Amino acid sequence: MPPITVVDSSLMIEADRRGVLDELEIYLRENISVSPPKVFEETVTEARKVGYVDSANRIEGLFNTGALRVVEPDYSDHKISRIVDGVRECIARKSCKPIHMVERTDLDIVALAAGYAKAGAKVILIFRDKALRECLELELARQKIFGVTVVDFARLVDELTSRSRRR
Amino acid sequence: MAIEKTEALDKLFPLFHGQSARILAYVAVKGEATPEEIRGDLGIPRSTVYKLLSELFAVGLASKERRGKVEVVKVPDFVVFADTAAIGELRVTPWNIPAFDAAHLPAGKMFIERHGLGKFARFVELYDSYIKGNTTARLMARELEVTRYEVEILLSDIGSMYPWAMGLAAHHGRRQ
Repeated sequence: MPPITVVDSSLMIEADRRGVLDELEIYLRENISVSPPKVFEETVTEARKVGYVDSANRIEGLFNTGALRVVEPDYSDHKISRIVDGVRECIARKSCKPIHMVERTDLDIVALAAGYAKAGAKVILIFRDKALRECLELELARQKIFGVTVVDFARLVDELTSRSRRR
Repeated sequence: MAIEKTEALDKLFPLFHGQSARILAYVAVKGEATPEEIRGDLGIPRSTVYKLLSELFAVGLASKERRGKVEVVKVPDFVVFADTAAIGELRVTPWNIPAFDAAHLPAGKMFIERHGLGKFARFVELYDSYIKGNTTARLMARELEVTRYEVEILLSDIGSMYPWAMGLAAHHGRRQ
């Protein structure tokens, strides 16, 4: 199975904000790049609703050109569900919030990444949140899921920005 | 209207925006720094650094310690609390100063215009937890009852002005 890049809303919004969506598209095309439906909703549908129409259109372009595909996570695998629920509990604990405030769909990128890794793919996962990173790394180790690399968000953004300056 | 609201924040805590805010946030993240490091990494002229530091020392928001020939600046773990009719409750700590200063950034102005100062104050508080790794952008958005998109562009703009707070290297041009 080829490497899979699982992309969160934070990367696309950051790349658009910095004017480096073209560089991001090139990066995404290096592998098969996927996002869950929730990411499309946040970066396109919701962005339009709150008046950021141009941004929504630009980000939607990544989906329209096929650089990024929408893939529904599969929760039928109990191990995947356990990983997601473990991460939910961890985030709820860290934030001192009841677990129902951390919705399962919040962690669809985790479910996607874990699913592909369990199927034997090398997975690259990209997001901004420090809390999510810490909880995810704990849970993947606990469930012995290997093959998921969480990319340093800041370093990737800086790399994309440097590439755009060299253009 | 957004300008008036932002000015209300500035008057409340004048040291928590602009270059003095950047100094406070930088030293808080680093733990301690010399005036020369502050000057070099933030690109603030030497005379301005010393002027702002003396203001911060005077009100106790920063302290200095001499180590041999070098003066080291530290920022204590403070909480400045305000409760006003216009804003509601607002807590500013060394960690969420970048969020407080975001009131001047494009995403911050838009956020205040749409949602008001009270909700912005709550964002500032939640940012403290966020930067310490105790909450996520989605949870913040849910708690604030705003879209995740709006939280992410705030975080992005903060990262642009305070790159070291987000682990970023450099300040680049931004799309408005």
